[in-house]
Amino acid sequence: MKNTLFYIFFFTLLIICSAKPLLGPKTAVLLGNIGERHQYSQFFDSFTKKGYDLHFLRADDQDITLKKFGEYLYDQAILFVGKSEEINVVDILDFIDSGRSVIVATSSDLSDSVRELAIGCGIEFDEQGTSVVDHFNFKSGDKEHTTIITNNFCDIPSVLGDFAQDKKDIQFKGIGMEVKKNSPLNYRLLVAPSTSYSYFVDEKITEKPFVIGNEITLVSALQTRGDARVLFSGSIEMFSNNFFDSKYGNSLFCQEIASWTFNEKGFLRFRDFTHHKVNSKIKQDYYRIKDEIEFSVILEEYDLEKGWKPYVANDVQIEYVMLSPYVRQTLVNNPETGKFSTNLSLPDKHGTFKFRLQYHKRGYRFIENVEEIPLKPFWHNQYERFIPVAYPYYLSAILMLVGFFIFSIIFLYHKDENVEKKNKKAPQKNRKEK
Amino acid sequence: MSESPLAIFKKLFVAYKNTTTQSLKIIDCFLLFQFLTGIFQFAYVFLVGKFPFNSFLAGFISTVGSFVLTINLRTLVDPENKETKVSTKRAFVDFLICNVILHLAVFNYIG
Repeated sequence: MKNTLFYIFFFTLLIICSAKPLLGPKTAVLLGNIGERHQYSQFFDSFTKKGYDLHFLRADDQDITLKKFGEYLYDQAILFVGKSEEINVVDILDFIDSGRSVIVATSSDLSDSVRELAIGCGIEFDEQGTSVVDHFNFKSGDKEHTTIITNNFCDIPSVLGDFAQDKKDIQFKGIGMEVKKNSPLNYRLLVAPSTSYSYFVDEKITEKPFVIGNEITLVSALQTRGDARVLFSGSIEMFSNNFFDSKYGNSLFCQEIASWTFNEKGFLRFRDFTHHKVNSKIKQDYYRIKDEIEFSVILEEYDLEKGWKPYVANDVQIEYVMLSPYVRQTLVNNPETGKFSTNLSLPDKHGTFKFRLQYHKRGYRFIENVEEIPLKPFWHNQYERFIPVAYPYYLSAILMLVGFFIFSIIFLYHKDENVEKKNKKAPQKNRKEK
Repeated sequence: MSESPLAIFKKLFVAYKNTTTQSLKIIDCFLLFQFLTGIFQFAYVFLVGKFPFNSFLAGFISTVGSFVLTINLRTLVDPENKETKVSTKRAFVDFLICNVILHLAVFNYIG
């Protein structure tokens, strides 16, 4: 009786102690002024609704550390640094390199450290003080024509998400940036209209502006090879409550790109990278040339409500590589289980090969996996035997042997007549020699 | 000098028939047979291609190797050979052993 009571007490205590508070990822939000958070309350509320744990910090504060004793204090960061606050570029680049995502929004009044951070991510902002100006696509009531209206979006569905169905114009007021068009890691999410340019507002234009027209990128993203995503926006006001008007698409657009940056969308993972010979389940360390192999891998995509769900695509490929791919095949997808599989025919050359799965799709996390499997040549007794083409060779070798046999019989047992004739002519000498 | 090539060949053939011993003639027959088999194999590989190259090599080596060994036997057995004095028995045993080794290698490689 006493024992059961004790056990009940013990287990309830255990359950209480193991209950964790339901908080999501720790996000550091750096603002110029803590009071500003109310201006962006709709944007931040969308995160707290999803369960994020936001920590508001002052960007200028010298005591901010993202890392303490080698451990990162935060999982993600949002930087709204548009009033020339200086940030610690080295720390933030380190934060990004560790695989943690960052949203950086700035304005015409950006500091040099923000420019430096952007250059470290492959993006070049215009000079401090410049703005993106458009005399044709501006918000009515704006005298300086710096609040521009644009609808040039990228065509990456995993980034745009729900916004892709309901594309409305975006209001933007801030600075422009330049992103190289064929960069493999930088995506230009929002581009200015072709009638815009980036220059100081009150100055007369005497030289060619830094960027003009469609070259001006307003919002861009970087997908690093270390699974971090960095979003750069030239305008903080784009995220503000004033701009979250129902007439424009700012609200949905900002929420969708922010959720992509924080790995809620387009976040893939692989598991069960298996290969074996057809009709055999044994995992081998090596294969023999010209083997038939069955390869399969399971790819999953993270969904906020459902967790990991199977990934559906028809462009995943597997390669069998030795310095350059000898075999490259597209995997066949099973939509229910997310299993990608195919049959491969290994090449005729032996050597140290590896199976390589490399999936770099725009808007998705990069999947790379390499497994080294050497390829061995045939054993001495694994070659084909009794090939019909080679019958003449077999025949000649056998004939040689048979001929040798017959020849030796004849050679040993024939009677040499010439010698006997010679013997008759010179009998005495031969007898003596014998 | 002023004789036709046909007459020269006939003279050669007659001299050959008269001066060579019976055993040498037997050896020469065997040599001719091996030579023809070798030529046939070479022509075959020209026509059909090198697919089982190891088989071709094994077959060709069996003919060429046997040819060389038989020539060796002929030089040792020839009564006009004055430098090497080896008895016929010894020469033949050498020939036998070498052929065995050759065909061992040939049949291992031919598959």
